[in-house]
Amino acid sequence: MKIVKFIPLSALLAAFAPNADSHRLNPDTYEHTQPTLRHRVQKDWKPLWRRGAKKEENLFGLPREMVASDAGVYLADGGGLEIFAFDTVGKLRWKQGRKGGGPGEYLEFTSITLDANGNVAILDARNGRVSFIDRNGVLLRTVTSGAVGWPSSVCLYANGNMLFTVADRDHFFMLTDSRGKLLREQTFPWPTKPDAPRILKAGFLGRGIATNNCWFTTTFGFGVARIQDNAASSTTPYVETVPPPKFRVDPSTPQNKGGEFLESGDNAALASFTSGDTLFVFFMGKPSSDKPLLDLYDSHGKYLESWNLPDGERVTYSHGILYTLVNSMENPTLEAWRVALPKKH
Amino acid sequence: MAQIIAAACVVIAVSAFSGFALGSHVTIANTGLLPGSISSAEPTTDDSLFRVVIVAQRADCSSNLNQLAFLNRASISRRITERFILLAGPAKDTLGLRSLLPRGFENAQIAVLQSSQERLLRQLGHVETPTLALYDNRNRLLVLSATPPDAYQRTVFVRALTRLITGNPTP
Repeated sequence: MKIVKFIPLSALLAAFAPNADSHRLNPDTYEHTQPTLRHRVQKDWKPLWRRGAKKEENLFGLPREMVASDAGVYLADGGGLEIFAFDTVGKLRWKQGRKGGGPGEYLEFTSITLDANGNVAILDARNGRVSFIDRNGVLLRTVTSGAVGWPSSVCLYANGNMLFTVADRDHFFMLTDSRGKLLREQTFPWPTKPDAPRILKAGFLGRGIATNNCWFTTTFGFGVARIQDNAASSTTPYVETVPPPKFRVDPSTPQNKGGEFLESGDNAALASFTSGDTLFVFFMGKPSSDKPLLDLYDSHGKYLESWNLPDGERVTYSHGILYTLVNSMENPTLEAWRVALPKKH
Repeated sequence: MAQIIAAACVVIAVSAFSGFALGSHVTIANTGLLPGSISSAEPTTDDSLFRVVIVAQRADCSSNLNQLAFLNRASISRRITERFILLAGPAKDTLGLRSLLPRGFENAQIAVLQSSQERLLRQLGHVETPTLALYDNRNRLLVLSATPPDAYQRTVFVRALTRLITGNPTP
């Protein structure tokens, strides 16, 4: 098994961050300090449509993850264990799924993304597989993720290979072919101390139409990494610090993933996704922002601008529409908003 | 009150910020948890209105109690005329418990769970908090349920309660 070593962080910083000298990484926390660099663009959010509790519809249980394409938005409901497909005007095109281990059945969604043809790929870690559904809601195939263990997120390459993050492994990334055969293991994309808190490795792969790149984003700390199918990678620091919160890990939880935050208001990256050649990184919490925040980067990792967002715990974008998801018990609701990307990258 | 125990806390996954608790029984039974002033009052005959009692204690996790926030959805909330909290524990815990309550219950009346009410809960198989009791406007107990143990069961439970309260059979 070939273990890919990454380039030292200092070299990467120098190579990919134009203002790398201003970044001072604390090796214990991976927190880097720098002045406020975000260019916040105030958007005039005008809703296109909404579905769910705010419309007095009892559609969703615990909507967790979503991904968008030109066809609309796909939403994985971890409560009802269903996939919902809405078109760009909010019409429910189809829904699919129920609890179980058979074809078209699910036990626990951990991620949702798209292959190169726009088919939906749903990662069900508890069933140990990725299910592929076409644009019309027809189950195409399921592929085992059993070689990976308990994957926390997945990104597809244009050639069908699948890159997974695995929270409980030192070899953080695992690459399989399109049939689930393990091809490669790969370590974290920047140096980590052996005894570093696991939360500093928390992160996820970006969602969107499969290309030759996958984007990995950390929840706290450093920034984003672009990982190519051939294992080459490059990294980009966040434009602003994302300090780790005070967090107590519960060792009894699977993969030591569970625990509790000891203070509220932490700023955390919760998702990333791509649309065309734009990478979006979604943050929630204070003190960096009293509203959800979206950072935009180009395909080379260059920072573009930031948007203050409408309320929501999840967000995705495609073809001029931003989709936000409120997944609270009180009002689980999907909303769509018209928005334009920056004109020049 | 040591016999009434707090359900295990919801575990929050770093990546999902969500999770759930233990224990679920659904019971259709009689009255006994409503405050005396309500249970002795002349019942109304509007079958579309309901009363809610939550049995809780200071040791409950706010994440468990927040599972009951669905009662604050507009379609449900407008049909709930009164909300009460029964505190399984000493009266001095009132302030602490209030700080844990989900939105919509911040100003609900809190009363200490009486031993007769505790006996009733135990007879009906409920020894965990938080527990939800739903009464109709004739003061008949329709549903008594602990917080569902996982997201799927909670979704089924919420859908069933929503249909019961709103009278709308469609999801």
